[in-house]
This record gives sequence, C-alpha cells and structure tokens, in this order.
Amino acid sequence: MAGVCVLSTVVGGVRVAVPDFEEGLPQRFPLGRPSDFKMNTLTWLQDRDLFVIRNEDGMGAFSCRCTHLGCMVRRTADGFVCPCHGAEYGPLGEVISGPARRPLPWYRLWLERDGRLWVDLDETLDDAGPTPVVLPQGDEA
Amino acid sequence: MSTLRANAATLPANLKRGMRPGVRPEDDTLTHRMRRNFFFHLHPVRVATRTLEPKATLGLGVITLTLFVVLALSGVLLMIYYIPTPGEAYTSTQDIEYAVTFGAFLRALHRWAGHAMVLTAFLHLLRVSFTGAYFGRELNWTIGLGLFLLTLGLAFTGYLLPWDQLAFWAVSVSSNMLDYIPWVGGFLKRILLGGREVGQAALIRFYMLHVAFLPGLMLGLIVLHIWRVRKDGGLACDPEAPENASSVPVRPHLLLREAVLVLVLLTLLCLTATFVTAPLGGAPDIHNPSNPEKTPWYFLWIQEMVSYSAPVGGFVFPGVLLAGLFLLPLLEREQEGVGRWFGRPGNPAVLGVSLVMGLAFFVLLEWAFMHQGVVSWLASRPPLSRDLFNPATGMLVLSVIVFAVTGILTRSTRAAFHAAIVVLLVAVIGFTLVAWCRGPMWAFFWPWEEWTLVR
Repeated sequence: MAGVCVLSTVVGGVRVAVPDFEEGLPQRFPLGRPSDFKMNTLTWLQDRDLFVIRNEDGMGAFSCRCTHLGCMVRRTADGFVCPCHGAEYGPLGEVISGPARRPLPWYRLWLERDGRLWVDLDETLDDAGPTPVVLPQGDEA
Repeated sequence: MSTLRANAATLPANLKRGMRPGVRPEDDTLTHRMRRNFFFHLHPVRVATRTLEPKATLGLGVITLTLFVVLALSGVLLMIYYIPTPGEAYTSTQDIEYAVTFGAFLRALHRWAGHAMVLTAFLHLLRVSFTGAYFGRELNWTIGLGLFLLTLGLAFTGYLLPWDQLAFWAVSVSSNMLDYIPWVGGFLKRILLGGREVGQAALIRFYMLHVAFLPGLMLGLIVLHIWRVRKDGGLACDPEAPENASSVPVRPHLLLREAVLVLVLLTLLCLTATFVTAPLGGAPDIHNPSNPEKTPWYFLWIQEMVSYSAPVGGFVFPGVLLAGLFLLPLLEREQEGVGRWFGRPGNPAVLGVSLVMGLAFFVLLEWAFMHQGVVSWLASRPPLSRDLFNPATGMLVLSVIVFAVTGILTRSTRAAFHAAIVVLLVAVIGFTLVAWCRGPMWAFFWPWEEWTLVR
C-alpha cells in the first residue's frame, strides 16, 4: 500500500515535469528573399543557428550546431570545425574526423508565394547539398 | 497579582524547566545531557582511541557536513536577491557581486564551499574505499554514493544560475551528453531542460533543483547516513584487532577534535572568500560559445573522454564506475584489516605497482592519441572503431586486467578492488588534467604554452 502511494507520487511528479509545451521561436520561418543570398556564398544566420548556401546547384540551409554536443561549428578553409571537442566537417557538413557521428542536418527550403525563402527545422533532408530553387522573375542575383 | 509576581520571580527557572520537558533535576548529569541533546546524540558515548587519530578518517565526513551547513546558510541569503529568469539572472548576480553588502563575500563563500564539497565528498568516498570501511555496511555505503551524486547534482545545477557565458555553455554542453545515454537519455534531457535547449524553462528547473529538491533530499540522506554510522557501531574498525581495544569518552576527546576541525575549516573558508572573488564572466552569448568551451572541472574527465567517443565517455565509463562502486561492499567481504588503510600490510606495495602501471599506460595512450597518424587512421575506419580504440576504453580494459591479475596473485578481493580503483583514479585525474590543458579547437597545450589557433 505504501509502495503504491510512493510510486504513484513519483510517477505523477515526473509526469508534471515533462514539458507539455515549448516556448521559443517557431520552427518554420522565412529566411529572406533569394536575392539576399549572393551566388557562391555561405551565409551564417547567427540568431537561428543556420548556414544558408547558394551555388550553381541551387540553395540549401543546414544547421551550424555540432551533432556531437551542440556547440556552434566554425568555418575553416575546407569545411567546418567545432571548437568544443574538435569535430571536423566537410564543406557540406559531412563528418571528416573527430567525435561527431552524424553530419550537420539539412532542412527543407522552399520559395513561398510571398517571394521569400522559407525553412522548416522539423523537416530534415535525407541528402546533403543545395537543391535547385525556381527563382521568381528578375530575382537572379 | 501576587501570583504573577511570584511567577515573574521564578521566570528563569521556569523557562529552563519548561523548555526541557520531562527532565528531572537529578537527571541533569553529563550522561543524561548527552542522551538528550540531538547534536550529542549523533555521537556514541565512547570511541576507540585509534579512530581519533587524524589519519583514520582525515576528518572528511565532518568537513563535508560543515560545508553543507555553510552552503545552506549562504545559499538562503543569496536567494534574497537572485532572480531566476534569463533577463534578470545575470543582472541580479551582478547586483549581489557589486551592490549588496557582503554580497561578493557570500557569493565567493558559496562558490568555494561548493567546489570544496565536491572535492571532500570525493575524498571521503576514497577514504572509505581504501580503508575497507564499507564492510558490512551495504546500506550506508549506498546512501553515501547517493550523497556523492547529489553533491555533483547540486554543484552542476548551481553552475548555471549566474547565467554568464561560462555557465550557459558549460551546462549546454554537459546536458547534451545526456543524449548518449541509451533509451532514457533524450527523456532525461527533456525533463531536465524543459525543452530542446537551455532557456527559461531550464533555468527555473535548475533553480528549483538547486534550492529545494536536491538540498531537501540531501538533508534527509545526511541524517540517515550519520544515524546509520551510529547504528553500525561507529567508525569502522576490526573489533578483534588488539590496537582497537582501548577507548576513551567522546566528550571531551572527540568533540574537542571536531570543534577544532570545524573552526579551522571555517577560518580557511572565510579567508578564501574574502580574498578570492568568485568568477563572473560576461553576459551569455547564446549563439556563440567561447573557444574552447569547458564543463565544470568535476566533469572535465567526462568531457575529455567524450571528445574521443561520446557513448564510451558519456555513458559506458561512468556507468561501469558507478556500478562497480555500488557492488563493492557486496562483492568484497573481507573482514581482516577493516578500518586500516589498504587492508593487509602487503597491499600498499600491490597498489604501488598498479599505480605505476596505470600512469605508464595512461601516458602511453595519450601520447599515441595525440599523434596525427593514429587519429587519421581511426578517422578512416568505421565509427565503431573510435568507441573500441580510445584512451577511455583503454584505461577501462587495463583496470579489468589489473583487477583479475591482482585477485589471482594475492587471493584478496580487497587488494583486487583497490588495485582497480587505483587505475580508474589515475584515469579520472589524468583525463581531468589533460582536459584542463586543452585550448582552442580542443588542441592540447602545455600550461606554459600560449594558446594559438592551430587550424
């Protein structure tokens, strides 16, 4: 009987501690117009922990959070390196060496009717690399 | 009216009697007073003369308990000004540091006493291990382990509260290590942080754990811990051994020693808190960790191991350590030499050998893994090879070998366990020192070298 009381208190207490909602920024949001990102550049959107890349293959957005323990990776001449434990990634976020196991995740990016690029951080892509984006008239950078 | 006057005249005597119900004047002897007083009641009436020697316990239990009291008192005072919201945590800490009377002293006292408590609780654990004092005290040993984990939990949750750059990122990195615990890691991280990342939800949870839940639990376990020492017959010693035959009354012999120890400790703490201010970094930049970003010092060994392999460093190694410590009094049941350092007279030599072996193997491993050849060879192998070949796994394997060999050669489970603990201790201290030397991009720098960006 005492055991049941203690157990139900613990289980109930833990259930209260499980968050039912999360505060913070939305996971789906606009990045800006395609012309904000010049051809053959990599832009660091620091306040959303994202890299946005644009080259001949198209455009793409991937995380700048190291998949090892969540520090922000730094750009180097041939990719990215994490300052916390030295994980190294290639130019598309693929694991080169160090303790990280997973590549930097890429997110779905699309052009909305409002002419802006949107990203959804809940939708990760299976393949790394920029994807073609149909640009609106007169918006080629 | 005359009755009132008479009562007023006998007020001191009535007060004394009224506040001590059931005490007859003829009971007011030393023995009765000791039995009645809660503080005295924690002590037995007599103790073995040998356990009074400083080297028997090093006073570590008393020191740790005193630090807990100091932390509770200074913590309550800090709570008057501290505000646990991301917008005000840092500024209210600045207020405590720069505006509140005695604020900087209190903060320094709380900080240094907290760091010291982690250290003394750990040393207490080592003292009980190496004197075999856990013999026949499985419950109290387990309570003690729980108290040590609570100490770490309190230190860790307190680390976030100043909400400066150091606190924010150290806790971010440490809590991401939970992700590597199989099955329950993600869930644990979710209820600890209240979200994906360290933010308002995490701060209020850490605050609640730090000021209410963990200290409350700790107070209860401390009371149990001390009460069990009493019930288990006081400080551990072999009653058959001739050197334990003589005993002296606790009062004054033990109480005097305890009082001196506490006063010396308090003096040292106050001097430290007066002259060494607690660090307070800049406001946190939540999108920009410093380089390097380190966990609190007592988790540095885990961070170093995690830099090779997160599953081994963050889960397997600490898990084996904890499981081994839990099983120690159940698997090691030699009564001979209980309460004596390192058990049988021949054992210190065995431990010396395992210490040398542990040190040599550790240096060899670190030397190998700091060479680019080994690192790039491993990088070309499948990910699992990094879990199998790294310094943490190496030291773990060595401790198992040392355990088996010592057990077979000495036919003593105590010597075998002690030898394995020595090797693991070398690993924990070694990894802590190596991590402490790490600079930008987690590159190794000797303490006298200047930090430079290697890449």
